[in-house]
Amino acid sequence: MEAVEIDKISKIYEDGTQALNEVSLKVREGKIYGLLGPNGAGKSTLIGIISGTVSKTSGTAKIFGLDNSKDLQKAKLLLGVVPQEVVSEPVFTVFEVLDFFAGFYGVKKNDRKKKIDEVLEALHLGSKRNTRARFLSGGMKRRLMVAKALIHEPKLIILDEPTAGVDVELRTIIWNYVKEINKKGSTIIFTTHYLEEAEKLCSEIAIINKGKVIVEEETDKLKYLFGETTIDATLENTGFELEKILDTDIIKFNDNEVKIITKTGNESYYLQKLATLGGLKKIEIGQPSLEDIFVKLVKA
Amino acid sequence: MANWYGAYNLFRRETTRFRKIIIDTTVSPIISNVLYLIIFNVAVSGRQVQGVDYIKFLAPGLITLTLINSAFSNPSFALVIAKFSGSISDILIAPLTGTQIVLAYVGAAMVRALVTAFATLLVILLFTHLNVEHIGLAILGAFLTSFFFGTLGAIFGYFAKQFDSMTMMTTFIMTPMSFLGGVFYPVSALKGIWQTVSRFNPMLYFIDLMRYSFIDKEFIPHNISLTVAILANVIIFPLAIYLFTKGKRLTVL
Ligand SMILES: Nc1ncnc2c1ncn2[C@@H]1O[C@H](COP(=O)(O)OP(=O)(O)O)[C@@H](O)[C@H]1O
Ligand SMILES: [Mg+2]
Repeated sequence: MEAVEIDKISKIYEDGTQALNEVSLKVREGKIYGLLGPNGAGKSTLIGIISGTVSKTSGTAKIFGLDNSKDLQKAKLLLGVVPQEVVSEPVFTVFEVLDFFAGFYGVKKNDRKKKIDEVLEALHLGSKRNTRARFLSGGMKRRLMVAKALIHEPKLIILDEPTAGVDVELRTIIWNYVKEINKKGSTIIFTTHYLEEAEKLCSEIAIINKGKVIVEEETDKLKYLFGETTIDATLENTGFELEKILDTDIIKFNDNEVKIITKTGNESYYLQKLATLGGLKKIEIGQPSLEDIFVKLVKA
Repeated sequence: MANWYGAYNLFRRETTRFRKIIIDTTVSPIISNVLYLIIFNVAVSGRQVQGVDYIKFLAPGLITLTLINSAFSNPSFALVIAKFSGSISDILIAPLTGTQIVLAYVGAAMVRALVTAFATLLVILLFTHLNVEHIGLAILGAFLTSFFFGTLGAIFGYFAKQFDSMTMMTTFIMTPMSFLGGVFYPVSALKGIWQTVSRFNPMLYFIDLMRYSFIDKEFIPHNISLTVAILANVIIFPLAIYLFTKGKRLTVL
């Protein structure tokens, strides 16, 4: 089943800004799905529409088959959302914030207590249980927002830059917990600025730019579709005629050093060819990072 | 399956909010009521208004004013603060309908208004003996008043874009309306045009209804006051639900 099915969603804000232009996406249940794109691409708008907090101009959004313009409350019950903007809460303690929020989703009192302690522990906020939420540091406020989204064990969790401005160690804490929850069956959608995060975590990625989806693909396949691998080889022989065995993919060729940039997936072909020349002294293979692919696609 | 337990938790949050700052929300209006009573009692001592001691005339006015201010402040401040702190996203994300959100906010407003007004009544009883002539009507009136102004506060919080608009509303609308509504003196004492203006002030009907139910004196016939109070609620409640269902103005500022 699809956790999310977005069909031709467009969004034009009141001031005329077109944030989304016929966006269609599918997120399969159980996946960790990354929504990437430069600032202003429309990620938060899309997340707002999925979570029912931003109205759409046209198109349909279904959450586990529920059309969120018809069954919004039912759809919302299945969701946990971490908004992009950091939220503070003037009078309530961390515990109270979570207690009320879980209550909104119908979690009963005894279950709430247990669940709150568990989530706070996992997100290393246990010692802040009775602190007023507004006195938390920025990173702690983020983790509290993550806690709010997870507290009712939703089937689908949407996180809009949950790790922005959070240091590396805490990012790991957040992602470890999110991964654990994913293993228990929840589907995860998130946006991030840290592309290494997306690369490590997501099994599927959509890149959006200027309100349009440029690609939607499994992370591994992205590399083969758009990535370039670099081979740096040093050969023992000099003066050989590489052109004879290799085609035009050679970028640099001087003396006994070769640099080959090729579409990812083709590297074994060239390695074999190089090996036949004999005397392979040194070899380095550079795999493309998601960042390379991202930059290439967004610029194009 | 409507998520009423979720709505109850929003109500619980909004009542907890004012309990946590009880000095500001409950104690301070009671103290200012005491001050009004002392000052006016000294200033107007011995005078009769509408055929009763001034303090007995003033008391129901103060109780109603307390109902009005408490009910109005609770949702309006909560919503404006939520817009500024960003926590407004909570009620957008939560699986609650517009109706449930309005009922939760208004319900909490009523609890605060009724508790504060009742405490004010108890304090007044230390100063003077006050009979409640029509107790059923007093209870109904208190509910109608707190429901109406709670809903009005929610609507105001819905539209508010600035913190200033809160103070502006209180200073330039709520306070003058309460003066023209006959809290401190009978509207019949107003001259010419001001008496006509007063009749367009919805607060007058709530205040007059409450005063009638306490001391059996009326400026507006109580059946009319009651009708106006009920109608006002009947009109404002669907409007609030409509707005909160749309939710357009419930955004972070
Ligand atoms: N409330 C709004 N009113 C008008 N324009 C908006 C609003 N929110 C976002 N936008 C615009 O929509 C576009 C997409 O924004 P957003 O969805 O926040 O992008 P992202 O999250 O990818 O950075 C941007 O041009 C942004 O300025
Ligand atoms: Mg964003």
